[in-house]
Amino acid sequence: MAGRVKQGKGAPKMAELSQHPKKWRVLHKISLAMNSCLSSRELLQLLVREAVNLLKADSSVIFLLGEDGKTLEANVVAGRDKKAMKRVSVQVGDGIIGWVAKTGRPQFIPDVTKDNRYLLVVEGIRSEATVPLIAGDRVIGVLNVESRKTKAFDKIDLELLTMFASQAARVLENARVYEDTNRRYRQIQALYEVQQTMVETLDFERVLSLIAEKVVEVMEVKASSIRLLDPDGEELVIAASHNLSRRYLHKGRVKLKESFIDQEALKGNLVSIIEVADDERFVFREEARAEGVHSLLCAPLRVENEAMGVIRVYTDMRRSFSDDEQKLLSTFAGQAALIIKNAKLYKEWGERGFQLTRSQSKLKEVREALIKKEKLAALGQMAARVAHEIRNPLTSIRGFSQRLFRKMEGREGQRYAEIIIGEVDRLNRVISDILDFARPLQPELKMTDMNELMREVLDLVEIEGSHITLKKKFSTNLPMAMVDRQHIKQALLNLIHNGIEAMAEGGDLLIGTESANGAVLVRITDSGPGIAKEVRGRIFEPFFTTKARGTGLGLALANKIIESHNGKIEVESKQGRGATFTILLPEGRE
Amino acid sequence: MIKHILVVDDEKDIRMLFKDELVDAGYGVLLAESGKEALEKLREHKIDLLILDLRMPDMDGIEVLQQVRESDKELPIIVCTAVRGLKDDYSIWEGNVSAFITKPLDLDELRKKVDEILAK
Repeated sequence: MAGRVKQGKGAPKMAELSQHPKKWRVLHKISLAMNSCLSSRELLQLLVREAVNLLKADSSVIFLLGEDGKTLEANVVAGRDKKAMKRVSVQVGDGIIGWVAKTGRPQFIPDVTKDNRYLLVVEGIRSEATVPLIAGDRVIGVLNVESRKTKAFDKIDLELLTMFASQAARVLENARVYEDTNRRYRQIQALYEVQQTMVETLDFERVLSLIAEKVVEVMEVKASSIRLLDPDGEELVIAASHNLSRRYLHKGRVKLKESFIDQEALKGNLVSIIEVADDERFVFREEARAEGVHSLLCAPLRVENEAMGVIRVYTDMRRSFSDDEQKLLSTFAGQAALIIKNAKLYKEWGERGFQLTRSQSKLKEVREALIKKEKLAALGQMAARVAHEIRNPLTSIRGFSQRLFRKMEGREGQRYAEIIIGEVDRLNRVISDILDFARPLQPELKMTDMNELMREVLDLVEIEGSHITLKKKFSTNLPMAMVDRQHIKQALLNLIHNGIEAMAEGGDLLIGTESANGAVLVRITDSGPGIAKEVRGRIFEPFFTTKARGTGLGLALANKIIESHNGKIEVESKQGRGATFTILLPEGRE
Repeated sequence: MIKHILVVDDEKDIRMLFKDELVDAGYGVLLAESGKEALEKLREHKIDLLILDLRMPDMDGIEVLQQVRESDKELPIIVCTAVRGLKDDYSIWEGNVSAFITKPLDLDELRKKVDEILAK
């Protein structure tokens, strides 16, 4: 460890300095620079450069004490190969530099070859002067000047160097305070951003992931995770993370009682681990090694006495966390906990609000269903009337066309008459579809073997010459269903025709039956172009169609029939990969 | 001997269609444009087959059917309607109606049914 400073020993008198006006000028220049807007790095460089000039040295180096308090590292260099020097470090106590750091006493060595403390770093140095950099009462580094000549420095030089050193220490101290303030500012800024997001989005998950992101920024670490206590209080579940791989996040779960780190953290203690891969307290050591995380700091997320979870930060190199860093994470975690708690409250409120909205929308649904029913009843009456009004003229058109057709035997007009008849039949089918759909369904339920019914339906399906291959896969153990045979036949036919029409170029039509959880399932799968996501929700709407020639009532009627049996139709489709309609009908009970 | 058919429909064109078609088929055809007229013609003429539209302005086909059946249990009746599914919906047809034809109709089918009924 670097020593405490013993003041005053060997300090030169001001009178001696006053005999060196040039030196005063340099000091003045430096004190002006100190008040300028130069960065701390620029100031330190100016200091070492001026030290070389003023003391007619060959080189000058500032060594700074590392965070471990044991190692001095070359930080600012003048007059030497900077890159080479940057890699030089000295242990406190070793060499002259280490001695000065340890004792806090300035030294000048007229001939290094005659001082057995001297460690050779660079060839050709004969004399040097070394002074400690002192902040408060602690040595934070060393300022060193060197010369290739012996006896290059005297007591006055040493005193000048001490003044340089005190300026350098001031710069470093300012930089530290600045860095500290800056860090605190960044922390406040980060927390503010999190809070802002919470207010803006009220989105719990986003708030958590933002906290995870910001803690990495503020703590200058590799990754982070936020783990929240589950409602039973038995497990901590990862609620958000930053920079951790999916694989690492899915490494598995640990019960709280098996995790020492989490237990300690939930008690309100910080847990710091230098190498998680080697530490018994850490459960997923191999996974951590694979992930490339080394040191861990874990802080509790607590509001008052309520422990909600923990926040963890991971480094990508092995290191200890300084007191400042621990304090920082603690503070951050405290603030984050408050935000998380608020966000959680918002979320719960939001959910309650959502439920409210949901029951409102349920009400709306019922109301809409009623309106729809009324509309359909009206539609039924209207459809019957319209059908009548249209079918009567169609009767005339078709009948007279048919008579024309006969009279035009062998003439061009016969083809025209044929077309008219065909179009009348088409119009009539549209009206039939509308009437079928509008008519209230009153199913007559009978115990039915759906496999048998399906076979009857398939007898009615014409696929010859259509390049469609029919594949059947009927369950041999199918329960009976209570259905209106005619209605269900109609529904299945409509669905099958829909599938066939989707495969104009041919394809596979797969018909299957299955049983599942008290339901009888019929699946109809085509290999057509599939149903676009945008229209999937609308295919059962009456009059909705994507076909050039369709009333848009086939699927609507099928759905209406299945719903009248308390069943439902589910649709699965990927665009370009066909569609599957699954009809679920309740199992029949005698 | 020529068989006579009474066609009851409120639409002139349809009456004309039936007339032309059934005359071509070799039947004698009488027309009525209302239920009331139909009942009158039934009293005045010997009719072998009644083709009855169900929806007419003054009285509907069902009423005509009931009144006809009060005096004549044997007359064959074809119900011709624009509304589907009626056959299944009412029991009144049971034993009272020989055939159903839905509009728009196929003339070949009409002929076939008429021939069948009147050949008995």
